[in-house]
Amino acid sequence: MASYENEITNKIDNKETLPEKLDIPTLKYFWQANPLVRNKQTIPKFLRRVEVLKNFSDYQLLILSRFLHHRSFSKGEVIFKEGDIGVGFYFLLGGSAALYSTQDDGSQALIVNLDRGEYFGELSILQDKGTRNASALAGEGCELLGIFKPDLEALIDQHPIVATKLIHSISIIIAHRFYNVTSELKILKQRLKQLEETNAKNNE
Amino acid sequence: MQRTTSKIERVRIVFFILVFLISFGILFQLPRISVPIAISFILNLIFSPLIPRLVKMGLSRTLATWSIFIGIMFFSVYPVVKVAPMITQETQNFQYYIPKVERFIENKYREVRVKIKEKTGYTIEDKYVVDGFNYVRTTTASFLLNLPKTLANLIEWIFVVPLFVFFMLKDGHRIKSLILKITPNSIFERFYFLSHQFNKKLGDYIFAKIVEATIVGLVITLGLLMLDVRFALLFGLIAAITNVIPYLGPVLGSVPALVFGVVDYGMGTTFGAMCILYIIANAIDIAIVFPILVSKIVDLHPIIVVLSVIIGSQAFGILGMVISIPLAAALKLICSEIYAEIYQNRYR
Repeated sequence: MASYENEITNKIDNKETLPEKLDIPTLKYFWQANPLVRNKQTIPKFLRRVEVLKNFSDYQLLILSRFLHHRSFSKGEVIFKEGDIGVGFYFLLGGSAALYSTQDDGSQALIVNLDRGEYFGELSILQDKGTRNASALAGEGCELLGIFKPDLEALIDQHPIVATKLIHSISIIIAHRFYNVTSELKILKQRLKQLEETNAKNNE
Repeated sequence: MQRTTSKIERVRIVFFILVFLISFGILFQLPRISVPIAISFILNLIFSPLIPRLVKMGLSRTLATWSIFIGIMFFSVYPVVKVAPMITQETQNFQYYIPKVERFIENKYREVRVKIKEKTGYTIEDKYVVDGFNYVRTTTASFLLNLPKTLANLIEWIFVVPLFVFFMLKDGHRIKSLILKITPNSIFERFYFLSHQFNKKLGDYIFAKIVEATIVGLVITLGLLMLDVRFALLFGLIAAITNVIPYLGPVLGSVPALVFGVVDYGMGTTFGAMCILYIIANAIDIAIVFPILVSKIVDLHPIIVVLSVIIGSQAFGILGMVISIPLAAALKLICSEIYAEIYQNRYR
């Protein structure tokens, strides 16, 4: 009976050339190929480069990317306004953005300029009816990846581990900001004390 | 800081609003599509929370949809095959009782007329009763004449609704992301959050109402069975269906059973027991089921509830009665958002 095995055996007996072997390394490459290996610029690949998401596995980043919304803004467009109820946390996929806050006299003061790979709005996704404490304006070629409260709820329901990691990352961001604020407050308090002391001395 | 609402953004907003207006206009103009779509949408809202749970267990979205779908089919076969013929039988038997009710009312009417004549010397004309009976007869006749049309619709729905529900469950998130893609930037966050809350409110409300109606229907059916009243299943079903209508529903649901009770058993113990049963069932509903299930979901003034039910019934019939309240709640949500936006007093 003619079978593949017999065919090969016959070929070996007749010292004919054998068909090419299955290329195991190539197969292994395709088997293990993940979304990040592809040459194309993909959202998971972008997320891989975001520092706070380094505890995510590649597959978890792929899942996270399915819950993100891609939004494009033209230069000068408002992303969100100070005082609005916010529900979204944004990563800057491309271009730039700037955060402004309103001063006592009503003028707008620049807080920070943000570039590709940075993020903002992390408080709103955790707060219940939290309001934005700054306005965000799009810069040149601004492209954002936003995750919103409903998405976080769905993520918690469907992929609890990914959701936990995301919340962990957001907590790290908030912890950093909180640490900075406390240090600044400490310096300000010392400065205030010094000023009070000099004031007291001057009055004496 | 410079701010611009660019021309393209304005175009996006106009386009977005137009898409919504046109689709709602089309749906409003074609009830033959919009009614099954509305029913499917409601079913989708009820069953879609199950999908994330199944996905968490490791199923793919398609597989999760299939299992929910097969589950619904499996559990709806028994009621359709077993209960539907029983109810049809009861309804058929019930029509033989209608002449009895008619005669009873006529007798009572004569007695009352005689009494009034004795006391005041004034004769009431027969016109009222004759007109009343004629009205009931013509309504029933027109209902029976329309029955084939209703049934044809029903058969159409039996095929169309499951199809819609299946694809809404399976691809609903794609439709959602498509809508979100064309949402203009300036209203995106608010629109996304509001539509999410609206869907959640509607789904929760309808689920709560179905549970409530089932509880009331079961209590009435079991109670009537215990009292050995005929047509217990039919009256239970009527009570369950009318329960969906707020305030008016419980009264409407009890009328047919109580009229039948008076006619068949007289003003005796059975009628008294039936009255008590209806009071108990509605007391359970008002005191336990409603506060726990429904009131958390909608906080509307009773007048607004009644008005929205009336408007809903005018526009979409029974379906309108069911969806009018969550719709009113959603409108309230949107109105308060617009109010806050226009008057800018949210945080000041």
